[in-house]
Amino acid sequence: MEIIQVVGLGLIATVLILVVKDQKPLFAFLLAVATSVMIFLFLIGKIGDVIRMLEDLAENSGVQMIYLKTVLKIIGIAYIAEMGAQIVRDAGQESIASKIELAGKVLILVLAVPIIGIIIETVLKLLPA
Amino acid sequence: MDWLSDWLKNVIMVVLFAAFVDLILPGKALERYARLVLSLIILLTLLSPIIRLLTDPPEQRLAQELERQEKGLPQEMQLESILAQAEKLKDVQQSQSLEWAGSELARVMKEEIAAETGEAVQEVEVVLAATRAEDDSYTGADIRSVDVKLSGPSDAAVSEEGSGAKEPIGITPVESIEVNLESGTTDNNGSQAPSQGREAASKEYKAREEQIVKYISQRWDLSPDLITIHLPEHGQDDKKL
Repeated sequence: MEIIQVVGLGLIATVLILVVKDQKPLFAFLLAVATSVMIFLFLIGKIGDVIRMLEDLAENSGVQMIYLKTVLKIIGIAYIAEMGAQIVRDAGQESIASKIELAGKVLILVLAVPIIGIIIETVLKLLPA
Repeated sequence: MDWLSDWLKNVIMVVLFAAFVDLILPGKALERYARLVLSLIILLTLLSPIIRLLTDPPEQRLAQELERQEKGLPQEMQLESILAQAEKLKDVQQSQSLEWAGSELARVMKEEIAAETGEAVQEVEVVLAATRAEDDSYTGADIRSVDVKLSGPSDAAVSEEGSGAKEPIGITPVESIEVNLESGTTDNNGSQAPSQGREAASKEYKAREEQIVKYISQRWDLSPDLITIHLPEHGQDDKKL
């Protein structure tokens, strides 16, 4: 029944924001930030369960932990960047939002650099000199 | 067949992870980038038996690289570059100490030549080079060349004076010596020569050169080839011994 709590929180926050928005747009923005952070915190426990399950699975099946670590990093970067970008976008700062997204993209690609290095090195070794 | 089942398990798990991540990714903006990294991870898993065959296991290197990224260590902090820097510093230090030893040796030689032969020595230059063993380790130094510049006419009367007083000086391995006799242009007051005629003058210089070369090569156990003597004579061609 947690979904009802989340949706209820969201609805109440939306109504409040609509009421406040005309008088004090700044407070409306703060309210939106607080609501999204609260929902995020609410979900963190559940995300922890899922991640622990994945880790157990990886350990039992003998998958190298480094792969799981990379995958989880991707999820983390994607979620945080997306959340920040959306909050900023709600406040009307489209350009800053796109910069946050750019940062997320670059950080995800940086994770790929060592992998690409290893693959390219192997391919070069496979090719006859 | 053990590695095959391990590999299959690995591939299946990684593909499952990737599908899961693809599902829970938020929004469209980062989807393409996340997919690229995920597909690279799958590719790496598929290739891992080949990689293991050719180089060390990819997981360790990946972990190292990721750790380096996380801690923000620059590339220079890696061991090889530190060792290379140390090697460079060592070389500089060695060449400096060789230079210093060469100048000390030259000073001692100058004093000795002056005392033993009575020649007025203007300058002595000694070039040392490090000798290296086969494993590139430093073993000692060789004298590569000795340049003696005489400044004036010989003064035979003084020659015997200081001969007894010299202390032997401990010097590490000296292997080869080269002595070239050349007429120098430093000082022109050696003016006895014209009066006695060319022949006599050149004979006298030759004798002086031979004396010095003989002394140095005996005293320092050098091959005469390494010693070069510059005479302050005018109008005389270079002579080589």
